[in-house]
Amino acid sequence: MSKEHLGEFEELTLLIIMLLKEGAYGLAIRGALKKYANREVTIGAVHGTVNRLERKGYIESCLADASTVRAGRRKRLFTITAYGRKILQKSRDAKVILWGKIPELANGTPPLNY
Amino acid sequence: MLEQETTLLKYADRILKWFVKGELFEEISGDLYEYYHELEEVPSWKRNLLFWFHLLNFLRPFAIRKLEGTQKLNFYGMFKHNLLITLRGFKRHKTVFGINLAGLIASLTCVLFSVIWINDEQQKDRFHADADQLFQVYSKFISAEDTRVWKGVTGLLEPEIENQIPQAEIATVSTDVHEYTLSVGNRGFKVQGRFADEDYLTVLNYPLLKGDKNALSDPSNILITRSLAKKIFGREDVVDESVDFHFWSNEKSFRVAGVLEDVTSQTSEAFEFILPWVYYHDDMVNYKGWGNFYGRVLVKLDPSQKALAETKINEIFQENVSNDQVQLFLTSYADQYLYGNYENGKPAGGRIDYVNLAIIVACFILLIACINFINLSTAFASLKTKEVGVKKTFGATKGTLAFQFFSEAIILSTLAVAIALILVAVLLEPFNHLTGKQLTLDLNFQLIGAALLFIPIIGIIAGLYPAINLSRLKVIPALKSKISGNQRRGSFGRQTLVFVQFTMSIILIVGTLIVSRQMDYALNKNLGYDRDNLLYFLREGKLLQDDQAFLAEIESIPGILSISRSGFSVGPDMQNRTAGIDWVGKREDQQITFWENSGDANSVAILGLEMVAGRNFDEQLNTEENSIIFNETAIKQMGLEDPIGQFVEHYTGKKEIIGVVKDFTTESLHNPVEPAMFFYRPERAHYIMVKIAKDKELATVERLETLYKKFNPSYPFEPGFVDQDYQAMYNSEMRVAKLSRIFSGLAIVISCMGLFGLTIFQVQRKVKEIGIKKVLGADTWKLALSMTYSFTKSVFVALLVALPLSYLLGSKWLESYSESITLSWWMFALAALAAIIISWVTVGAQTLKAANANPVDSLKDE
Repeated sequence: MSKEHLGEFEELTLLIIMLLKEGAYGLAIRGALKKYANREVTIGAVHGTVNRLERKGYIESCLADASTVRAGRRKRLFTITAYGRKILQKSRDAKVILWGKIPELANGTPPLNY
Repeated sequence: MLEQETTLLKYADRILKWFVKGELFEEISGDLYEYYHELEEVPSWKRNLLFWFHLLNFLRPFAIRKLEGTQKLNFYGMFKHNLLITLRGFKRHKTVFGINLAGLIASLTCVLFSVIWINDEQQKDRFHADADQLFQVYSKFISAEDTRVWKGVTGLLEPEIENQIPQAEIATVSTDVHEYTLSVGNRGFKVQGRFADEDYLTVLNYPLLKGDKNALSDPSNILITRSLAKKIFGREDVVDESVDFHFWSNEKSFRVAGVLEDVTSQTSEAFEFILPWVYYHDDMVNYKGWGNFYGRVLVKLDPSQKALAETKINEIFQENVSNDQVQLFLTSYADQYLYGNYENGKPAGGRIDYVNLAIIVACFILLIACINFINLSTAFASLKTKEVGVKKTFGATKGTLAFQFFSEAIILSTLAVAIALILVAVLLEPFNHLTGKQLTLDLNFQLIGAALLFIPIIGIIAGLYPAINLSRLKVIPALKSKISGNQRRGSFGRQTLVFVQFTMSIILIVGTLIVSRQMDYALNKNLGYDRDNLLYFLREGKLLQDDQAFLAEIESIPGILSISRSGFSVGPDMQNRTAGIDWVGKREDQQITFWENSGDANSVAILGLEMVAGRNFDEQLNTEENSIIFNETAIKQMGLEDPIGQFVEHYTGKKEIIGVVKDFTTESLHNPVEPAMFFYRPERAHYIMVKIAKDKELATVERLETLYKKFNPSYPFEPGFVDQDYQAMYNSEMRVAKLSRIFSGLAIVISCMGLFGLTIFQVQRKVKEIGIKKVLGADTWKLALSMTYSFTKSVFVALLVALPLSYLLGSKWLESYSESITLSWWMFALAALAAIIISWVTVGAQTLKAANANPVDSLKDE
């Protein structure tokens, strides 16, 4: 398996980090996942994923933005790297190509679910 | 923030800090608390539940911190570090490590063998379910001279016990195990067997594979073991087959009524068949009276009732014989094996002495090996003072340092135990050969338990001293290497330990010398008769009815010097004894038990017994049936002056004393010489005895066998040799002698290895000193001497203590023999010389090398 393989949940998380722009930290990502992808996961799962993504070099992070609700603890804010973007693009391209090669899918635009 | 919220955060923080990686703590805790705030509308129980669920959900590989922290040294990290240091130490000081390990392995192997052996000894006869409720009836013969104990009573006692003593649940009577001939068709086998009554297999749990355990109530039944069934029938389902029994003049056919499982190593009296007691009692016992002690009676009763039962048994006995010089007593059945010896009527140990000896010697050797470890690790610890200093500076506590030294010792002892276990498995076969046992290494609880127990024990003994001493060092002197004061005390301690080692080694050496000398003495002693090349075999079958033709034929075999029909044999079990002798002037208290031999006219001469007075039997006279020959002890104990021509009353009639022979010994030297008598009764002789010319043994025995087969085709020819039987009585002692030779050899070798290690250390430390002394013109020999001085001193002090101690122990051991060697000075001198020379050779090689070295080499660097 190539190292550049992107899991489904990882792909979702990357997209959401891009969507959230400056406000992408653990709990916010979890909220967005629930809102846009209807996925309810534990905070630990989100942290685990972003930790892995950062280790792979798809995202980078900094600590900032403490507040009282966080008991004075800072957030780890994530932004996507250029490498991350490339991987995301690759993953999408692969899927689009596959969709195009399957006649019954390529003939009509598949209906969106929402 | 609410108060309960604060406490919640406090606990959550604590738990998170405990398991989450330090660098992740802030973001994780922040997210969790923010999440907690988001849940304001949720009922508080659910809110808390969700919070904790999410918190614990962080127990994921990415978040959990590693066992070994980077910021704070924890237990695991310390342990890993210790292990590393230990292994590096082993690598750097290979000699010391090797000495320690080899010593520990050798001693542990000895100890583990002792454990297996002792365990086996202690389990003997204990597999019977009621072993602690079984008691053997013994009889005690009290006379003015001494009191003898005999493991036998009349067979008539057993039914009386069952009828009259309500405390006795059940009783059984049997005989000892003895060799008999069994035959199937015309194939004969010499087989070990016993007679027993129908309760025997109820009382004792010898497992029966086939058949009924009450089979022995029928006098025509026989029970045989599985291995015997295979041996004589070649298969195991042999019920209802018939087997012929032969002994002496008795011959009878029996039906196999059952097959027993083989019990060999668990029992002290292994047998291959059981015949009914009824047959023995009716057909083989000539004199069925209360004065004949032919039965072995076992009683099962509650141990608390033992004294009462004993009194009652004696009452029954006295009712029937009214002889107050014989008393009966009960002894635990299972204890007989280890505590079987009696001296003058009192229990005097037995095999338990060897068990205790084994424990002591094993402990000695283990201690010697531990001392090596202590000595070498304290000596080399002075090289570790820097390490200790640095560690203490960085905040290591006494405890952590002590832990380090302990773990070092424990790693070594674990390694030693593991290798020793392997060695035990490999060497089990030779060990069995040496001890004459069939030990197996089934990984039993005891052995594993013992092995596991030794790891911490050795670890603690060996690690204690360095752990205490080194962890106590003060930081600044340790770093500055100013530990000279401590060093001196350490070297005194080391010398003391060397002294202890050598004391133990010297005691073992002297002990070995004494045991070996006594064995040589016993085996080569003139016993009063010439036992060399004396062969005997049973008169059975045709030989019993008419052996004239056979005797005439074997007389013509060139290698045979003389022939006799005789009942003579050596060993404790095989002889006839009787108290049925009366003489003029016999006093009430002179109940003498005589050893009795029935044979032909040649039976005294063939043994080479020396006549002290009177004459030997004469074939030409027809009156020899009424003659008797005594030995000196018998005459002395009877108190007869001028015995020749006097008459005594034997239970077979009046006999004239025609001769007196010199005393002779038939039992082991533990027992004093017994009164003995010879009769002329060739028809009652059990054996044919043959004296064979030297160097013609093999050919002669072969010709004898061919002749025997011709006369007695259905009987196996299995002759015995008197000298071998005599040797066999010393089997256990000879084994002890062999084992002690090995053990004491090991002890001295391990001690010397330790000494060798210490010398290396000393030489290393004094390299500069030697160099400077040499530059200033010191003599090589003087240098070497000055270095050996302290060790020589230890060895000499050890000699001063060990020699008197071993003298005491040795003379105490020799007391148990009625005839023994005298302890002479040369044994002690030899041991002393050996200890000194061995220690000098060990130390000398190293010191001389150091003293001979070119001072330039040792002084140039710095």
